[in-house]
Amino acid sequence: MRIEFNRPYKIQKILKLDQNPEVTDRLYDLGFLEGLEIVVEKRMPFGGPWIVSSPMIYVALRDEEFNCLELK
Amino acid sequence: MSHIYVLVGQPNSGKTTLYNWLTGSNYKTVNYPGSTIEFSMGQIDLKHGTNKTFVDTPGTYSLIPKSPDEVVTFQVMYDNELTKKAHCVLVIDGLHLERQLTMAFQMKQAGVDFSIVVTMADLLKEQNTHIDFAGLSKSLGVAIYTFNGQTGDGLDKIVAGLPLAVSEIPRKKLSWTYLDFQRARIKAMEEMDKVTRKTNTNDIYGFTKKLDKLFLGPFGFVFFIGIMTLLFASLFWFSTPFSDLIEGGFGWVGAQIETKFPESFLATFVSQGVVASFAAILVFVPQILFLFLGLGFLESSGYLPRAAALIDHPLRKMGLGGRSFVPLLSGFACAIPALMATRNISSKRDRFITAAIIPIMSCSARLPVYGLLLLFLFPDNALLVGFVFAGLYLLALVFGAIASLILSKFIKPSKDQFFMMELPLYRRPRFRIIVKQALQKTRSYVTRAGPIILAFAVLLWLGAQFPRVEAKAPDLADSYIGQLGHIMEPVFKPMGVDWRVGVGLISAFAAREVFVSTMAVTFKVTADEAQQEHDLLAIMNEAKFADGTPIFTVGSVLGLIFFFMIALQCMTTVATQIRESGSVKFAWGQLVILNIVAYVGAVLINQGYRFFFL
Repeated sequence: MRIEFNRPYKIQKILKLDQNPEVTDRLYDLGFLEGLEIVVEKRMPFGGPWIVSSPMIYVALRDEEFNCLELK
Repeated sequence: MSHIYVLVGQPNSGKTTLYNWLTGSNYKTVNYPGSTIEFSMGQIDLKHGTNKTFVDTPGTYSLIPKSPDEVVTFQVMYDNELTKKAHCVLVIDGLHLERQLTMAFQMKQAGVDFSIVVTMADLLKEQNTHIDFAGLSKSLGVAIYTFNGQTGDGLDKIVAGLPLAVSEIPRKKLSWTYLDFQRARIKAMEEMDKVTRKTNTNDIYGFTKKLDKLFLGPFGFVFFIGIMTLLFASLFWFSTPFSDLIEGGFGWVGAQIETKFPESFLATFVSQGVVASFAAILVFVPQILFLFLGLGFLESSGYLPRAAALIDHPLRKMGLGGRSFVPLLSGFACAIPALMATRNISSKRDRFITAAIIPIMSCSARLPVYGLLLLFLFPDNALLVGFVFAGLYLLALVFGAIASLILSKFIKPSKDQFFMMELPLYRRPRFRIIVKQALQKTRSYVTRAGPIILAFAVLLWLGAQFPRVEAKAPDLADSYIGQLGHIMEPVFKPMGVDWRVGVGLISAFAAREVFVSTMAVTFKVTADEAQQEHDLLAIMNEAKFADGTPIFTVGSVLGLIFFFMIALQCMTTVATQIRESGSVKFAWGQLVILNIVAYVGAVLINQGYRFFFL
């Protein structure tokens, strides 16, 4: 899906990356769980990390980390 | 008997701030996640009581460790004989209470005896969020205290409330699935809903997000390069007046001693050996102080995690990751804490590569050497020296990137890589604390380097004064130091320097700063009376080989700068590398390779310069 910045999304599912389950485990640690409403604030210049926020999270995520979040 | 309490909690939740208040310590507290990488133990400050010992641990997101710094905390809680039964204090950032409560549920499930301290209470008020902590405490069945890290409010209640009894119930090791996290989250939400009342909520991140538009926007890299250039160039610009003052003061003292006691062996020793050596090193103390002030300012402002996120992508292209940025930047102060800071990197591969290139980062011990050599290249142009100074730091990053690229070709990407950098609120740096910590580090630099410098100065000076010839000092070439230097000269000659610089290069293996003081001794004792009135730079300008060609040319000085940029001369770094990597082979291999590259590079630069320009 095409991501629009500064718009709220709900996390529908956390996709497990086969080769790297630790990424999803860390996402859980940080509070990224299904049903959480997040805002995709921006993407850093030159294909850098995404900045994602919620009332309790303000975090920079790499592409492969961000792509674990299935948003709706 | 002292009762032990272990402070645990998520990264950047305020554990070290609380620990400092409790113990009266001055451990570095900074505004980025993962600044504590080793546990530390301290007795309670006598102002707050007796018989209590606190343990500060690296931040961990859960009781299931995923990176080496989290393993340290896990071991403190489960394996360490002294601390595995100790009462734990779970430090929670009030702004992220709901999320961090998950850890409280984990601790309950693991059978850990604990209390909760909620920090950032001041920000909760600012946010117009009112939490019924008494209600939450009752509901969770755990004592909860609030604490303001800025003022220390709440400390007395925490100390008075800590239990003296130790739980004998063995702790369970956990293995949580997604469902466990989900259940804990829902429970935390329910708990918080019951006790939270928000009125006209301020968006506490509003100001932070505005600044991030600037610092992380399209011009983010321009700001990043600008901030880093300003940091390193200002080291030179701001410190020059202070350095001039120190230099003048020591010069005056040396001259006074020799005038008052002419012909005295002891007076000459004190003036030319001791005072000159100390002047050569203390003159760079202002630069080191400004470095620590600058780094302290960046650390406490909250900019560093953003810088790490910003350069994550470019660093990945070089085989590293954004999490390597803070250890690399710390390497500009000192390689030892920087190597320890690599524990915050989850990926074994990134950790290995970062540790391999940290010694290339220009640590504060190189500052005096760069200062001397750059002033030789660009005399009377402080502005330019400042920029070149900053350029050397950027060049260190470039060399590090090249080394990283080469290493990454040989090491397969590991599966344990993740970045996920929490971005804390921007906070106004507290100047009093930054100045205090910078002064402490500078003092520690002087006390660490001082005795080594003095010992070397004494040895070198005595080596130059003996064997005595008719109760007078011999010609330097005939002195012990001269004889030793001449044996080594063939090694240093290809670098374009004579044995006196060679002695300096060898002595730099005790501590890099010793190079400058050694130069002060070996060159000043060889100078005639007229030359002795000039400073070291003037003597360097006039120093010549036996055939009359100058020793210090652009080529030989550039070669020396390259040598110092790459060479690994610090044995403490080697020892730390062995401890951190667990590999003697890696540490010694690094020592040998970096020094060979430094030497060969310096020779090539000098010979290349001679070939093309002379």
